[in-house]
Amino acid sequence: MRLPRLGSMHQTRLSFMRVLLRRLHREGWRFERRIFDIDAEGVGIATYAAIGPARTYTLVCFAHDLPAEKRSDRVIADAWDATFALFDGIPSAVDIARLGDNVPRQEGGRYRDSDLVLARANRSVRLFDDVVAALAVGRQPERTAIESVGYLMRTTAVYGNGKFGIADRDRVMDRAELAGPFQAEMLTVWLIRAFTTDLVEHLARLRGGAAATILDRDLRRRLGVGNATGLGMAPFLVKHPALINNWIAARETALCRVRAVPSATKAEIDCLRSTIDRGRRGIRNWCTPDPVQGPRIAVLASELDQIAARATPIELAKPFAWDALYRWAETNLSLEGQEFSVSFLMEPHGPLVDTLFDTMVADEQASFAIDGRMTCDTLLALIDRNYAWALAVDFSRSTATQRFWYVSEEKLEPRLGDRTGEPGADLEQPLAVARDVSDLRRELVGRQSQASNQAQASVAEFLLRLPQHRHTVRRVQLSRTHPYSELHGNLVAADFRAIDVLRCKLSFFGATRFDPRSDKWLRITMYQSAPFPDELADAYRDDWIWGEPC
Amino acid sequence: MIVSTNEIESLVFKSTRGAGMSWGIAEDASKAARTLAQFGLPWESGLCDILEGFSSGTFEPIANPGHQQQPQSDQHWLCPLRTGIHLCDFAGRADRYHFRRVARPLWLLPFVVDCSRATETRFELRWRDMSFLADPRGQASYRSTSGMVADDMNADEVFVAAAAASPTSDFKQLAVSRGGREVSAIGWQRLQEYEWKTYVPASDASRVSGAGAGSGDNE
Repeated sequence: MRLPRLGSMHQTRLSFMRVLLRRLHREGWRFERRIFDIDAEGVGIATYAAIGPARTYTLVCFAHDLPAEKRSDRVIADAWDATFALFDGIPSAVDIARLGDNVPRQEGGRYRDSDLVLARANRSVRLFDDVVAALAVGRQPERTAIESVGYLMRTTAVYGNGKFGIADRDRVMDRAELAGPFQAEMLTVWLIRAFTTDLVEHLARLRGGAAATILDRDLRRRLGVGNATGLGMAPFLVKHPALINNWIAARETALCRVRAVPSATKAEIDCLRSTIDRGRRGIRNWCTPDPVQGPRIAVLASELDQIAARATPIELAKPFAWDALYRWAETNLSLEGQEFSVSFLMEPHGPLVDTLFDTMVADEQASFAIDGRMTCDTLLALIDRNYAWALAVDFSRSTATQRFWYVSEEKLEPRLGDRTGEPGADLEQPLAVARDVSDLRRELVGRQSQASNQAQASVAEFLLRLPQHRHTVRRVQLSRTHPYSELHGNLVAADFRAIDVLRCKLSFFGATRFDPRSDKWLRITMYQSAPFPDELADAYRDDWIWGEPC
Repeated sequence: MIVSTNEIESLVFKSTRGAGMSWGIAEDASKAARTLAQFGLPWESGLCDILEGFSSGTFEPIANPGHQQQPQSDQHWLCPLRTGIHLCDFAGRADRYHFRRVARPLWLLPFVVDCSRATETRFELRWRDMSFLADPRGQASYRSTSGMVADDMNADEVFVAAAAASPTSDFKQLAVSRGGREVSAIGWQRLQEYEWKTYVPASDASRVSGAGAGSGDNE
C-alpha cells in the first residue's frame, strides 16, 4: 500500500471497464444511435441507447462550438466541446429538452434521479481537426498520429453518485449491471468514445460530401477516450477506506490464486506469452514528457524484454511457474515492472480471477460504527501493529507537514496548499491520516503513562473527552478487519506526489498510458483497442486492452 | 428543491464541521441525516438549530459516561448529536437511558437505529407522546397521538430503552425510500452558510499551484 507501488499499478482483468464490456458482450447488449442531429459547425444532439436484457440506458450528447481560447481541461473551465448525461431509460423529448437546459452548464445545472452520470469532453487539438480533414478528402488519417495521441476527445470530468442531484448509487446498486463499482461511469465513457468517432465521420461527410470516407475500422479501434484527472479524485481513496480495502483485496486474492496454480496448460502459456508480446508493443506508444515517468517507461520496456526472455515454454512448464515468475519479478524488476507482471500474470486465469469483481463493493454503513467498548490499550496496540508506516514519519520536521488539503471556495474542489506560504491551513481537510494517527498515538501513550486505569479506559470514554480524534479512531478500528484500507504514505509531505494516488484509482478503472502533467494531475487513455458498440457482438476479445495479437 | 442523498450527506458533513464540531462528529451527523432523509423525515431545520445552538454555546457537553444525562444548568440543553453518539459509543452498557433537556430529539432516532443494529436489540425512543421502535435490521416504526412524526424543537425528558416486544398494530412503519428528496430551500441555504466556512478563498497563486496546472492543458 506504499504510494510508489500504488503509483506503479496497471490495469488487470478486474479493471472496471474490462468487466463492463465482458458483461455487455456476455449478455448480448444491443446499441442504437437513435438521434444524431449535428450541424457542420459540430453543434447539435445525439443519443446512444444501450439495451440490456432488463433495462436500457441512454447517453445523451450535446455537441458545442467552443472557441479555441475557452478549451481547458481544468475543472474550473465553464465551457466544453461536448457535454453528456447517461439517462436511466429512453429519454422523451421533454427529458432531452430538460437535459439540454442543464447538461451544457454541467455543475451549474440541476439534475434528477433519472440522470445517472454527468460528463464533458474536449477535442484533442492535436488530432480532431486533422482526422476530420483527412476523412473529408477520402484519406485515412496518419496511423502514427492516431497511435501517438490515442483519442479524439478527452473527458475532463465524469460525475456519478448523487452529484448535483443525479441518482444516488443506492438507486441502482441492486441492478446486476450497475452493482459493481463505477459501472455507470464506465458505460458513459465507452459510449462517449463511439460518439467521438461518429462525430468526426459525420463532420467529414458534411465537409467532403461524396469524397469523404469513414475511419478504417482497425484504425478506429486504436482510438480511445482521453481523460484529464486532477486532485479531485485523490480524496476518494482516503474517504472510502472499506471500499479501497476490497478493491486491493480482490487484486491480491487474484494474484494469490494464480501463484498457487501448480502447473500451467499450453493455452495458458500461449496466452501469457502473447500478452507479454502485446505489452511490449503497447509500451512503444506510451510516451510522456514527464521527467519521472518517462525514464520509468524506458526501464519497463527493457524489463519486458527480460520477462519475455524468461517466460519461455520450458520455464513455464515447470511446477508453480507463475509463482516463480512473480518471485523473479519481485526480486529483479522495478516497481513498474513488478506491477506490470501482476497484470499479465492474471491474464490467462479468467476463471480464477473474474468472479472476484463481485467482492469489489463495500457496505460502508456496516463498518462505520465505532466500537466504544474497545480499551485504549487495544487501540494503541492496533496503531502499533497497523500503522508503523505512519509512525515512521518524523512530524517534528516541517517538511513532513508542509502541505495541506483544502477545498477551494472558487470551484468547490480539493486542492493542495503550502502551509508555509498560503493561507487556509486552519481549514485543512482530514486527509493527513499519518499525522492524525501519530497525534492519536501520542495522546494514548500520554494517558497510558498517567495511570493504568486510563489505559484500561474504553474508547468511548476517551472520545467523550477528546472528540477531535473521533475520525481517526474510526479508521484505526477499521484497519483491524480491513488490512488494505490505508494508503501507506504521508499525504501532506513536501514530496507527496498526488499522481501516485490518482494512478492507483485509474488503474482500477482500466486506464492506460499514464501521462503526468505535473505532480498533481495527469492524462490517461481509456478504452483504446476496445471494441465499439457495433463490434461487441462479433468482434469482442476479452483481452482487447492488450491490442491485436502480434 | 430536490436533492440526492449524497448531496445531503456531503452538505451535512461540511456544515457540521463548518459550525465547529470535530470531523468525526461531522461524519456521524452526515450518516444520521442520511438515515432521517431515507425515512422521509425532516432533518434540515433540526440541523440548522443544532448548529446554531452549538455555535452560540446553547449546548452543554456530556462530561461523564452514564445512562442518565442532563445539563448542569437550566440555561443549557443537550445536543442530540453528542447525545446520540454517547448512546452508540456506550451501547450495551445499559438497557435504559434517561436524558433531560434535549434539543431536536428527532435527531436521536438515527443513533437509536444504529444502537439497535450494533447490539442486535430492539430499542424504543420516547418523548412526550412520540414513540419510535428501532429494530436490529435498521428499520423503525412510530406511534403518536397525532399520527404524525413530531419534529419538536426540544424535549424536557427523553427515554431510550431496550424493548422486548415487537411493534403493536398502532405503530406505523417508516418506509425507506431511495431517490431524490424534497428539502426546504431556506434550510439548505442556512446549512450552506456553515458549509462555506470550510472553504478557502482562492488567490492568484492558489489558482495556479493548488491544482497543479502549470503545463499547457489544451493539446
